[in-house]
Amino acid sequence: MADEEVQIRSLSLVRMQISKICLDKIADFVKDSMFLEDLDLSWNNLLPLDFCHLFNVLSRNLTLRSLNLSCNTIINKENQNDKVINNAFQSMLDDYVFRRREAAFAGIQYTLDQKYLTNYPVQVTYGLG
Amino acid sequence: MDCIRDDTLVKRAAKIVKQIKVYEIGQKSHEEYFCHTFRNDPNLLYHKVVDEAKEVILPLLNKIVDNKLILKDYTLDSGHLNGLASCLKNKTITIDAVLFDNCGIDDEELAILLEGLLALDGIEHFVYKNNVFLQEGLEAIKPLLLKPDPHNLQELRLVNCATHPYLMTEMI
Repeated sequence: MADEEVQIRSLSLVRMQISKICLDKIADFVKDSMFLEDLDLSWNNLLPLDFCHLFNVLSRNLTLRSLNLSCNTIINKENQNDKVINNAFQSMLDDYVFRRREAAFAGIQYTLDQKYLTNYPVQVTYGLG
Repeated sequence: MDCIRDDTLVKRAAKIVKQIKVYEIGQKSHEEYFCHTFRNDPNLLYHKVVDEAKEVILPLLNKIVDNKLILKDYTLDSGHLNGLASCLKNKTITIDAVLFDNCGIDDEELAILLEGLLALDGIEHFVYKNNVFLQEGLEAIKPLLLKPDPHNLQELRLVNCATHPYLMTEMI
């Protein structure tokens, strides 16, 4: 999928034993895809470090509207070792939100719902306003 | 006297045999006529394939509503999926969305189903939950994902399937 021209709009891989390598390939797909609007990777037992590449490339995607990462461990506030990752995640998320706000000015309205951004599970949802 | 009785019996037997032959020929030609007339009927094709597989005929085609086939907790065997795939390959039915949730579909059966779906022009949504997804399914789903616009797959949902992590990596 990451190498070929796949024009899928909605991809859900829920509780499908996704590994870090797989998530990295999904991130590459997200980066290059001009069609993907919804991505659901919930319930895959992924850890904070696994998401680094995905969050790094999120800002390059212009089509994604919904990202569901619930029931993975993205932020572990209790673990001091994850503080750096937490900060990186927050920064990447802010970056993404900022870009989305820019997009709103361009005529596409986006709203951000951060109420799910808790310790566990985590769900980041971007929807059309 | 006995000779006459035997003669009569032989004539009667011959008459019965003749009648049976005529009946058999008539039945055969009727079947041929029936099969020829309804050769494009999906129900006949589905029934034929499932019957050949010696499995209980389930009203699978009746579950297609508005070009959507939604099956939840509906156990299927390979005969049923073969029958469905035959109908799909024959293009006698049209489906644009399928959902199979806990249908007891194994890897080989998934490959059969996907081959059928690949023959369709407009399959847009493929939702596959609580079944098996392994190597054969992976190989079969790849061409479906690569279908070009406007016949491309819009939505792929794989949920809680028995699989292996490397297969997901290979798919992506």
